[in-house]
Amino acid sequence: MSHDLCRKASYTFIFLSDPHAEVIRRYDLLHADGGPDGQDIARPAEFLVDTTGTVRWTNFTEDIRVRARADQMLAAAREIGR
Amino acid sequence: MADANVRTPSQLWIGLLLGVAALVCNLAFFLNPPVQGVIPWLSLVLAVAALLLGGAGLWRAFATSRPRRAKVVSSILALISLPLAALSVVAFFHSRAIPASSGAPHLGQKAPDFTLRDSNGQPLSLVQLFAAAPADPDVPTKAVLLIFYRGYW
Repeated sequence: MSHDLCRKASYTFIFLSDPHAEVIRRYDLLHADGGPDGQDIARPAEFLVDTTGTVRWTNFTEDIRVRARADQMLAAAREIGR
Repeated sequence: MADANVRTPSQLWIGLLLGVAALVCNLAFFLNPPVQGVIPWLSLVLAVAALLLGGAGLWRAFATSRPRRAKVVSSILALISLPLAALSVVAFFHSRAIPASSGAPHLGQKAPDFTLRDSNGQPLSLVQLFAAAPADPDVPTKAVLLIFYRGYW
């Protein structure tokens, strides 16, 4: 995701790139050959982490077509915000 | 009046309809409905029903004596609906063939630290993310949402 693309789509959140899947491996989320051209990519997963570094909410889908919805993630964030 | 045994078995038409429906209900993912977890199962049920009806219709078309025309139409319908339904069944199992990820951080565990480059090429660690982009400068960031995004395949 380039800086220009983020600006064009007016995304305000941060995009991090993991080209060698190092962090993906560290989080045990590697989906070997999962990409359209057989690349090693991440399985879909979402984590909400608080300031102490503790995981407060997770979502591991069983079906790559079913992802966390924005309202699910916002509800989890509001729980921490209280 | 046409005899029922002259026409193409109705199972083949219904099978085709269900085969198309199985494929089309996947489009619902793009509408992001609240109950999207049921879409894969709905697609599977429709596809399996399409396979059963298609098979039954094809058997009826050839096991009972029917005119050549009905057999040709039946074959064409089956040739379209059976692969279509099979595609949805394959997609169902393919979409669920994802690693178990038992070593991933779970609730209450510490998220492993990391440093990755952002879209400006700047390295950012997990700790730095808390200070990186507060939505409101007056409200301290209380949490960071990490989304491992891989595109839509």
